Parts: sequence; C-alpha cells; structure tokens
Amino acid sequence: MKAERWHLSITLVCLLFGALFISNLKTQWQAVNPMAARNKTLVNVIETQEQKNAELESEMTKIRTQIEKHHSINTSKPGLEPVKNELDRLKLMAGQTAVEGPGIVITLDDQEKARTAKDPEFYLIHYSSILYIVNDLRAAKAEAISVNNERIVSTSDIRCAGSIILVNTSRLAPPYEIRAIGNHDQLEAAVRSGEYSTLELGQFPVSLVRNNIITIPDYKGSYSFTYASAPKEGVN
Amino acid sequence: MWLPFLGLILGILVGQTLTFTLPASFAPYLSVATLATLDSTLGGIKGVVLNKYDGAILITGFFINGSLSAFMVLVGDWIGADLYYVAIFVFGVRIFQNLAIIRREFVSKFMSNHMHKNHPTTHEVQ
Repeated sequence: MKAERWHLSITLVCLLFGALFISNLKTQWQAVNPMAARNKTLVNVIETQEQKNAELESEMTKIRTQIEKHHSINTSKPGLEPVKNELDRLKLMAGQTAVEGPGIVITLDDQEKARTAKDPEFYLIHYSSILYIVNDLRAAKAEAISVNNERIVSTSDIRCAGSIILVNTSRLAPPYEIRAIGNHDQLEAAVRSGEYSTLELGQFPVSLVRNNIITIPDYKGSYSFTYASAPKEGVN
Repeated sequence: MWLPFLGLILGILVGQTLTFTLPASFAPYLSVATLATLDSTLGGIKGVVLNKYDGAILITGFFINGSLSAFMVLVGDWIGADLYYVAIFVFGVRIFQNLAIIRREFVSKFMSNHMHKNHPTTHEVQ
C-alpha cells in the first residue's frame, strides 16, 4: 500500500471524530439517567456497610464464646454456682441465648397482585402488620419472638425504609416468618383476634401453624446504655 | 486505504479510556459539535473519492466547524433563538448529501471497473 498524502490528515480527523463521538455518547447516556450514577454509589455504600455489620457480628459471637469459656472455667470454683445460674437466667431473659419450646409460626407474604397492580401498596405486607402481630404476641405472653430469624428484644426496632422492612436494622425480604414461643392457645387466640385476621380477610397468603418444638435464635446485636443508669438508693 | 478506519477505531478507544464526560447541560452543544465533525469527516472522504481532496481545508473545517457550531448554539441560547435545530438541520442535510455523493462515486467506480475488466468473477473493487 503506498502512502498517499491524504492518509495522514484524514486519519487524524477520524481519530478525533471517534473520540468526540464516544464522549458525546457518554454525555447523552448520562443525560438520560443522571440518577443512575448516584444510585450506584449509594448501593455501594449500603453494601459495604452491611459487610461491615456482618464482620462485626461475627466478631461479637467470637468474643461471646470466649466469655462463655471463661465462665465455664470459673464455675468449678465453689460459691460461684448461684451467680452463674443468675447469669444464665438473665441471658435467657435478655434474648442472648437461642431458645426452643412450643409455640406458633406465622407466615405472611405479599399478594401475587402486587406485581401487576397499578397501586401495589394495597397488596404488600407493611411493617405495621408485623409490628401489630408482634405486639399481639407480646400481649399473649410470648416468651421469645423472632421475625425472619431476627430475635425481638427490648431494644428491637420494626420499621420501614423505602420499600424495605427493617428489624433490628437488618433488611427483611418476603415471606415474613414470625415465630413465637409460649402457650399455643393463648398465642393463637391473641393473633387471630388482631391484625392477622385483617390480613386473612384481605386475602393475603398468610398461615398460622402450631408447633411443639420451635427454635428461636439469639440476639446478634449488643445492648449499649449511654444515658440510662440505675438510680442511687435513697435519691427518690 | 485502511489507515483512516484504524484511526477511527483508535479514536473510539481513546474516547473510551480517557472518559471525559461533560455535565448533562453541555449535551446539546457536544451533539452539534459531533454532527459538524461528522460532516467534515464525510466531506474529507468525499474529497478523496472525487480526487478534490485538500488536507488543509479538511483540518480547518473539522476544528472550526465543530467549535463554531457549538458556540453558535450557545449564542442562540443567550439571545433566545434556538439555533440548535438550525445546526442539526444544516449539518444533517450536508451529511446525507455527502453520503449520497460517496455512494454514487463508489457505485460508478465499481460499475466501470466491472465493464472494463469484463470478467464477472472479480469483485476486488473499493
């Protein structure tokens, strides 16, 4: 191929045109959806935070097993037996041990219609339904409650962030499974007289099953009291 | 013959890696500039095909048309006259005219080669 004099300039022009064309494409795509880049960074932030949470949780379980080990060494000493028993009792009440026993399992799910309906919020399970049912269970003296394996303790939150339900600040996905340990009849009666029946009448796919052995996991988070402390004797 | 295509691909790669993305508010000016430079590039190809090629005119046309058209659209925005559509119309018409001329030249070259050689199995034109 012989080099003609037009080769150089037209190649340069083609090169510049290619660069300009691609820049234009990029600008246009960005113009179509300026939120995409922002959403991407937000998703990244959430993902890293969740990863950090998981790491911290595993660290906490590690430390807890270490504490457990120290406790078991100390129980051999005489006189510490009542303290150990008291500690175990408090742990059970604070939800820091997995528990099992008879109880009920309630399953809530979104309606199939929610996918196609113009106003899907009428066919979705909202955080308030879970909150009401948990409240009914508490009123019926449930001794341990969990939602999708998140233990409900005294500091637990049940709330929504956008379209996601959070329990103990971790995200839940449908179907929602609420487990409760307690008296079968009492729990079922309390649940059936409240929010559960409303959902049932609204033709949500819900179910309530009695079970003789239910396992409920321990609370993975921590209790931190920064402001509250026990009042000193005689102050009041 | 293939050097310009190589340049085009290289340019696309350069644009891909350098990633200069302007804010969305600059999008119309960049569009007009791209259209003007496409017109210049096709004009250069047309010049080669018609044997009327002039490198200086191509290069100056490329830069000055590109920047001036974007600038004119900006001025139009300032004075409230939407020159954006005018630029698109003018460069669009020119692009299609250039394309038509290039096509006609290629077709006529192909046909004349075919006739001269009078050999139906050779298609090594273009």
